[in-house]
Amino acid sequence: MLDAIEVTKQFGAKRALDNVSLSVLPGEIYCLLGANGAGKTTLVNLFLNFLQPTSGSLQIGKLDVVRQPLETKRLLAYIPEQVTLYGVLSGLENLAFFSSIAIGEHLPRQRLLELLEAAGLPRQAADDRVATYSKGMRQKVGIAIALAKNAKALLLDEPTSGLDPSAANEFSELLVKASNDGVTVLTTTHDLFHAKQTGTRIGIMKQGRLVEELRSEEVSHADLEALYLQHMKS
Amino acid sequence: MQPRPLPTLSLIVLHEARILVRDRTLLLVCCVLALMVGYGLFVGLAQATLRDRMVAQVLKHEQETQTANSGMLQSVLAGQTALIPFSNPANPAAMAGTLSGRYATMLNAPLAALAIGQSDMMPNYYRITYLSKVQFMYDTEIENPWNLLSGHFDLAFVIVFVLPLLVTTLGYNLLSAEREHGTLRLLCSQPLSIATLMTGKVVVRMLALLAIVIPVPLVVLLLIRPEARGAEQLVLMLLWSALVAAYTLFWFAVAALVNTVGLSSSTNALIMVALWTILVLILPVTMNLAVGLVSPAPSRTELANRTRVATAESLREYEDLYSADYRYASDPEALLVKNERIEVPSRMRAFFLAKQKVDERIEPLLKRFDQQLLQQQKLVDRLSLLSPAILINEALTSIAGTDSHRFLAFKDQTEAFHQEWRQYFSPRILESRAMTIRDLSSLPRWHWIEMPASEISWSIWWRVILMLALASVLGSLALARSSRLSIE
Repeated sequence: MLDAIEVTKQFGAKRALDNVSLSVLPGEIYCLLGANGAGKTTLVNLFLNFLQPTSGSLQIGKLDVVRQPLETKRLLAYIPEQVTLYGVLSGLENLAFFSSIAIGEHLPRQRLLELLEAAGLPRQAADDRVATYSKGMRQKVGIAIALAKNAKALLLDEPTSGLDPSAANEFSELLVKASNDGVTVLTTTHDLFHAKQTGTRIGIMKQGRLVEELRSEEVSHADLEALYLQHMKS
Repeated sequence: MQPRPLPTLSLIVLHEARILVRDRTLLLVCCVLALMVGYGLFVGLAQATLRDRMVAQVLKHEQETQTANSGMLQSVLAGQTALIPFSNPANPAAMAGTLSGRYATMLNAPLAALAIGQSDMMPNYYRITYLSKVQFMYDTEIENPWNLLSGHFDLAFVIVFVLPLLVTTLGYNLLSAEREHGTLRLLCSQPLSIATLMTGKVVVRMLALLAIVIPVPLVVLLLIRPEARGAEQLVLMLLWSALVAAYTLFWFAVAALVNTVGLSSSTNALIMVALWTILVLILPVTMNLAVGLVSPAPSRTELANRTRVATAESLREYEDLYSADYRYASDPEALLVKNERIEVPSRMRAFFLAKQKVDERIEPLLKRFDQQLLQQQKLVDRLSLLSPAILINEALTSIAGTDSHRFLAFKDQTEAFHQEWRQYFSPRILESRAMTIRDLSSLPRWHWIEMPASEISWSIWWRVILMLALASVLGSLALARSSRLSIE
């Protein structure tokens, strides 16, 4: 569903991604681990067509990301590390706007409220201006936007960084449920525990290269941590 | 699934409208624009009304003078009034000069209130007598120097100078604000191109500005100036609307292009203000200097000197007539009309002939002046293609009928009428034919022939097309660049 084929991305003299190939199958949750600057977010940006690869190609559902940007974006939903919304609008209005752009139709208020509730936002906060929201509350509106899109693939860039442990856990459950429904998930994270607990497969990136790929059921928490630290030190 | 550009665009437009209304930016900008449009229109209407009144007053004065002359002539011919040498209406030299005269007037065009243009510098009436045209056509009122320096704050000023600044206020951060607030990433992760996003943002901002700047002046004009309701005027109003829309679109296209460079909002604002300064202030001034260098304006000093020389030569030529005795002072009978003939006092005859001679002598110089002015105007017309501000200003004044072409046409027609006036009196003065009541009703009459509407429309149409072409090129460039914009 999500395919990166020999992708290289160069920023001037700096090579952010170096011949990376990975493939995420339908229903898989692929967790990308790596230190800051390893190239995780660059890879997500390339899948979103926010950047164009220097060489190689990226596909979503066999559609080329660069050549068919709008078509590929219909297939995916994205939750950034920090969801930034329109402060002068309420959470509900933000959700209504982004979901209408995403699916091309206006969802009824009741459905919007259900989506916000499913994302964990208290119902009474739905009509408050987003300028008054905490980072976690904004993150939940971002999740609701992704849920509204009913996408076939989810791209997540450190999605739980602003959430409290309980909300992060609820979010993980949402991901597993989506995965069970056949949704493909590619998420970047620094949280080894979250990756092991939620992920189907785990990739470790270092200096723009994918240096390790493993199935999460084949490795324990302790082994994953040891392997990760070994790669970071080498 | 095929992309759905139109619904997405309408969603962006509605969303942008809501955001702009909520943060009150749009309200503030629209209020400022409405105030300026209102004031600019008020100034234009006041000026147009003033000129209307001036024309009405001179025509009333002309009518009163004619009635008085007619009464006086009847009385003189009946021998009921004592004869006064220089105010004798039976004397054709007196009637051709100080006693009578006609006013050549140019009425305001129906849409004059839309732009003051050249009307604050060029006269819209001349008093036609047998005097040299140098005396009345080059001897106009002195305007308030401050107004001549800065121009009036009329609607054209609001459109040419202020509107681009308001476009800058609304458009400097079309994309940069989304990037700086962080919403651009979430937006661009949706099936939405930056081109559609930018177009939607431009559409809502442009509609808001045009909803004030176009209908307000036109509705006011239609309500308070009945002459603006004709079919030709409606076409001109349509052209005016198209022109203002094209100019606004041009500035939004500039804003969109600046936004696709990917710089910060503050840098974008600086670039926009710099572009405004160059295109609206520096370029027109530079072009004015260039026109002055390439095709210099005629020298008024040269004209004044040559006129003095021509006048002195003419006085010398007719000095015998000038020095003739006032025979009628001792012989009042000499002023009587006998067999439809009258003795035109030799000083008056000399005056008529001398003025005619001055014009003949000065004519080659005036022709050269007119040619220089024409060349200058042609150069200005050509160079206006380089400056959107001059381009639109020329078109706005054309629509309002306050452009230099119309005033030059008025000057040409006035010269022809002045010639006709002289030709009417010349045989009467030279052959000493006394004026009759019948003559008074057959005096040459002034008729202003308006420039053909088709000629005006065409000159405005091509400016509208040119402005739209400029805006389209810049807009296409902005849209093309937007597809390659990196979102980080």
